[in-house]
Amino acid sequence: MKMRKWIAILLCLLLVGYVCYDAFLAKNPAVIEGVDNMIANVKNMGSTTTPVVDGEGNPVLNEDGTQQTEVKYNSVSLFVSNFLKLSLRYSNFYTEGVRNTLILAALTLLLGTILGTLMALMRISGFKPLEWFATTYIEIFRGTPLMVQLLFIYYGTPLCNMIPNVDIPFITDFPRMMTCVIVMSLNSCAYVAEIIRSGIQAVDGGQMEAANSLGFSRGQAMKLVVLPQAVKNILPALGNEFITVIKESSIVIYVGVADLMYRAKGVTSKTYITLESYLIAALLYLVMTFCMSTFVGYLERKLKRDLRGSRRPMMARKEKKA
Amino acid sequence: MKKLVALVLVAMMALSCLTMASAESAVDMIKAAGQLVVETEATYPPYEYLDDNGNFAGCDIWLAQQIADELGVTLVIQDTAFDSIITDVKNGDGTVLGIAAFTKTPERAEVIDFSDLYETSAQLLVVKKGDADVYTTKEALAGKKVGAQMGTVQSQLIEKALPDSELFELEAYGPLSLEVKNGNIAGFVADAAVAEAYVSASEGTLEVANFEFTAEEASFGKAVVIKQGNQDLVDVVNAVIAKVTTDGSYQKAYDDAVAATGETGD
Repeated sequence: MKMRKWIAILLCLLLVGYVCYDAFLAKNPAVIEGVDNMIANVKNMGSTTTPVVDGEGNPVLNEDGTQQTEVKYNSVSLFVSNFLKLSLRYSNFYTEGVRNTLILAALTLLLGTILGTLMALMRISGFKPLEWFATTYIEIFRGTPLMVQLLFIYYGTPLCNMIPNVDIPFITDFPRMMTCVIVMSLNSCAYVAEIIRSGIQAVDGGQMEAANSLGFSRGQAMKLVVLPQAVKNILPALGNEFITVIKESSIVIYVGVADLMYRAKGVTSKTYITLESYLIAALLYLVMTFCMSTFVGYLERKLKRDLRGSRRPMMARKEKKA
Repeated sequence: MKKLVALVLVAMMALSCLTMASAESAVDMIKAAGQLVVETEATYPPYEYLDDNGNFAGCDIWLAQQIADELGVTLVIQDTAFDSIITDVKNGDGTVLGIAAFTKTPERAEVIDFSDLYETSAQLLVVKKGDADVYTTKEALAGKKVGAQMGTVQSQLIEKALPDSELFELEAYGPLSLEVKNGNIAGFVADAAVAEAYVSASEGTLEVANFEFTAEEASFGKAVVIKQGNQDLVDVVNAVIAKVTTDGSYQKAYDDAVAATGETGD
């Protein structure tokens, strides 16, 4: 776990460094020149220059009489030089994409988890109409594709027009982004509700019986006995859902929100370099999801409460007493 | 560990050897396969679109059929995303043509070859009904969102000719026209024929704005996209284009397509 924590911290620092490079250095003409030179040098590494000959082996000449040459680039150096060119000269696209993806994912996770918890409580409340509503909601939002939900709510309902156009720093198009956040939260809420419900129901029924027999009410038993144990079951699956939300946020390209995938596609359509552009996007997504899963692992360790109870093993406790 | 590093390096070097070009010419490969594959995106009437029976129609499709007839093979049309056509042609084996009302630009010409131009068209701005006289100058569009499809010359045009407006890109023109109807963006830019096709299909909710791009900003010649290094295929396509543009048959196909899209509201 220590190693993983340090890798996550290193990746975060790299990401912050990249953002700082883009904010401060990327527009500096001296830096641009240096970067272009480096890219040209890498591109020329391992390249071969051959004189061009026509069908009979006679040399083909340029307009000024010099020999025309054809340059063949080594594909590995070409790949690396393209990668550097896109990540360093188009860094503003990718950093804006990362920023928007993080904003979308963070808001969706917050709203989705809160709604999901409420939905889970409704689902197991014991009050039939609430249960029925929660079950239907979960069925619908788990059973339809997120893209269908997004396009339906965005184009088919006036939700986007009902959100006021507020000017917030770092958020480019408030109504459109908020519509996307709401749709993704509604979707994520259904999954989170099921995860929480299954985590709670996985706790042995005997725990509730024992708590009741000790005099706890149902609510107290849930809060003090069942839920702490359920957290161990819930967190891994919830971490899964968090990572899914980060990756699924790319759906917003279909309504024109400029997240990371949208920007990566934009760079591709400008430069016609596909593989390297999507590789950069993939690496940036990986950094985000790795940090998220490391954080969830940290939470798992901190909140673990199993039947054995205390975090410290029995042997260590004995030593302390002595 | 050393062995792993050596293995990885060998794999990379082996991959770099795969960049050898094929010795067979593109025309021979097409004739051997008996079919010509053309990539397009059929959401652009009258150049290419899906008619009421779900078949590909439009003057670009007609041109593709002429080229296939000239080569003596059957035509196979692949409908894909517009912004991936050029990269597909570039990374393919040279037998695939891209015909999707592509405009010849210097940036594109660096990565693929173009045939001769087969058509030139002006660009129009499509706006919501009633805004035709509102958005008539660049100042009127300053600060507003103007839409285009991702990866097209129209989006480059908006960036160059309308620097004060905000470029809004989407994957296709269908959602763009919805955004204009809902008032989220001021308008979108498209080729003249396409703009008119979307306006006539919009049941009165869209109209063409009285906005003009200057001639040097926006006269776009259309050409067929071919992978670099296949001059024989380029020559065949150019011969077909020369024939159909001089004898008027392309113009007839274009007019027929415009009429067809106008009638059916496609």
